[in-house]
Amino acid sequence: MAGPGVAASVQEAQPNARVRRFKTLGKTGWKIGDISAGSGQRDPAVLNYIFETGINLIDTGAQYGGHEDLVGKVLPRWRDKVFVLDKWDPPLVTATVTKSALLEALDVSLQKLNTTYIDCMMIHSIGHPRYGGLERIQNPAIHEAWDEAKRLGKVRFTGASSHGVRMVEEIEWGLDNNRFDVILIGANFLTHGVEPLLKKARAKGVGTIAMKTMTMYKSDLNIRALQNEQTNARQACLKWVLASDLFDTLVVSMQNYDRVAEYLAVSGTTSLTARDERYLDTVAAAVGPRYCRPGCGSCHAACPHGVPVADILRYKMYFEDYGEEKFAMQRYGLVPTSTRPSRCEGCAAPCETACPYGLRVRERLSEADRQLRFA
Amino acid sequence: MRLFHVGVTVPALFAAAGIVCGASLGAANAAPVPAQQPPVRDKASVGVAIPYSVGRALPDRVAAWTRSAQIQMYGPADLWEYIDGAAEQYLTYGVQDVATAKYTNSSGAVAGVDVYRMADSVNAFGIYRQELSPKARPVAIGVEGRAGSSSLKFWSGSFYVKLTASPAGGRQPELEALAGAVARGLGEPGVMPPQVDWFPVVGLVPDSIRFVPADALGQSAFTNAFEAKYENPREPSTALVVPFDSEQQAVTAFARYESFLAKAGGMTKVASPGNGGFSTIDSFHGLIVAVRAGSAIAISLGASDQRTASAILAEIVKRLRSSPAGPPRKDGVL
Repeated sequence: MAGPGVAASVQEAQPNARVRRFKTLGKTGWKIGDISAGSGQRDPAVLNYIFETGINLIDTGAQYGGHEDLVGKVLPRWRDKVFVLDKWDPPLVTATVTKSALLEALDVSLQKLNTTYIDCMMIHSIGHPRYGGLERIQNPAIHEAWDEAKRLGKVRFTGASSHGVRMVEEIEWGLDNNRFDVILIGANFLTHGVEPLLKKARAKGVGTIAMKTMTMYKSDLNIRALQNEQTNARQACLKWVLASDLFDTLVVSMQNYDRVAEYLAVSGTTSLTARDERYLDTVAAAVGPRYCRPGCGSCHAACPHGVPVADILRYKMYFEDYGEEKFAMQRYGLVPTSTRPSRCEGCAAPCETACPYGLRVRERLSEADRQLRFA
Repeated sequence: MRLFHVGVTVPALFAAAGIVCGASLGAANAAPVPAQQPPVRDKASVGVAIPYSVGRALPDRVAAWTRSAQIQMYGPADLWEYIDGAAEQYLTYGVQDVATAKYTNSSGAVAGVDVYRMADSVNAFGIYRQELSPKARPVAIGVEGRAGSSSLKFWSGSFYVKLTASPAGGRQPELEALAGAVARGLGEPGVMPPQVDWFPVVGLVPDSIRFVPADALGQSAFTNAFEAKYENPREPSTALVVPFDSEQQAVTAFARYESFLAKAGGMTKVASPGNGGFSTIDSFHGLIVAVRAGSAIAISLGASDQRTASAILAEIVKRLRSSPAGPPRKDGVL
């Protein structure tokens, strides 16, 4: 058997898959590619290839099942060329967590990442009721840990990620108190309420990164009307973010070589074509009427009868869009009768007034009641 | 999120709904469903039996532990609410739902228990091995289990279970007692996936066999793969097996992989084992030797030399031929 020849890198052979536009990531001063990598890789060679294409920001986190370890296998080759965005495990960061616990967790992450410093260390999932409210991110221990880590050269910049219902409120607190250098937020062509937040961030020199760019639930955009055009639709979703001047970059999960090429094909986009708009219209028509946007939750306290509006609409979505009829009905079965939408008829529907996206909330609640209680 | 309120007779709710229901919450509180009662179905009912009893898996009391809060459940569409970005990996491994509960004991320790129901036992094995901490101590719970200083993970049947104790408490014996009770509530643990027998044991790094459900080596066509690590002078090499439904699918995927690597040049054909293939050197993995064997592809990455790689692949091809978990042979022998 003859010995193999020595191959060049895959990227050298596929020079077209490249980042074509770089922007400054706020006050960090880093020139970042307009498309950045999320944490979908399972093979270190894919991540290595991603860096070869010019993508120079990797979004990872302690919570992403071994992804920090995977980054650590590749990072030493690229350390001075790649911006590492890392996050503490959300359940660790509580209103009572101590500075030493956070610094200890940071050291574990540094070890996994095979580096001595992290470019931006974030609080993960702020604005998410599950992990706590403002008192969580106001915990002085977090800020002392950040300051200490910066002093020790282990962290260069700080920030927060969010797509929770109190995203705007909690990110705003961090901006007002100059605690964030970079923010990573759920944003896409269907979310139109976060512009003031982004403008405020940019005015303060805070780097802005978009995630959940293809809407929260349908990352594969498996919509019947798109048939075999999902690639075009996915690219249109990315192009919407790229064409906006409110984001420095976007992160998107790149699990295989095909997706890397697909996404990089739209790098450098500065405007949408009519064709892109049509794809977005198709996605909006399929997803928009049912899609509760990241960081919204405006309807949460709107119902005078205590109907859990957002929860019931989500159960309806499971029933209609995911083929999870049984699961949806089980959940609805646990909503107390006194807070089901039986009183919606004749109500002035303050939930609809509260919804900034014009969802026909009352009608959908009544539909949900009929679907989910088997009438 | 779905809440099971302690004391709510969940089976009665489901029975009224016309759903065949095996789930009960809090065995002590739940009203039993008469065994002889036939399920009533209507057009709204998709009536698949819930395959296990949440109540049995997460009982009210176990040894020193008492469940202190409602059981919460999440499905694929809202798993992100519970574990945020980590949900992506669980979705890849076919998570069906997760039931989660908190327990406290008399010394004030708190333990969280997450019972993930995966698509099948292979996926339960897969996610367990993916999250395996090599430093954790093996425990005899489920098919495989490991305990760290304040955590315990195991897989049993199609379930992957994680227990996490508060830093302040939860002595290991107590945590193991709780884990054992959860495991018993999940039923028979089952056995290791037969695909692990694809890999020769000589030189195999312990516990290194993994299930890779999608995008193995970053190739979108490489799904349902298994990989293993082998001892090697510098760092372990990797052996990967990708099964396909037919020989034609394997031929197509192999040609695409070869074409992908050939763009960088430096390919050499190899005649065996199996149907033969190629070898090359990749700037990241080092030596790559890939062969097709009927409806499967076998690849060695990072072996110290071609002879070592070929020996491992030859043994894998031999085992594929005789394995009950071997890929289908619609188009002839392997």
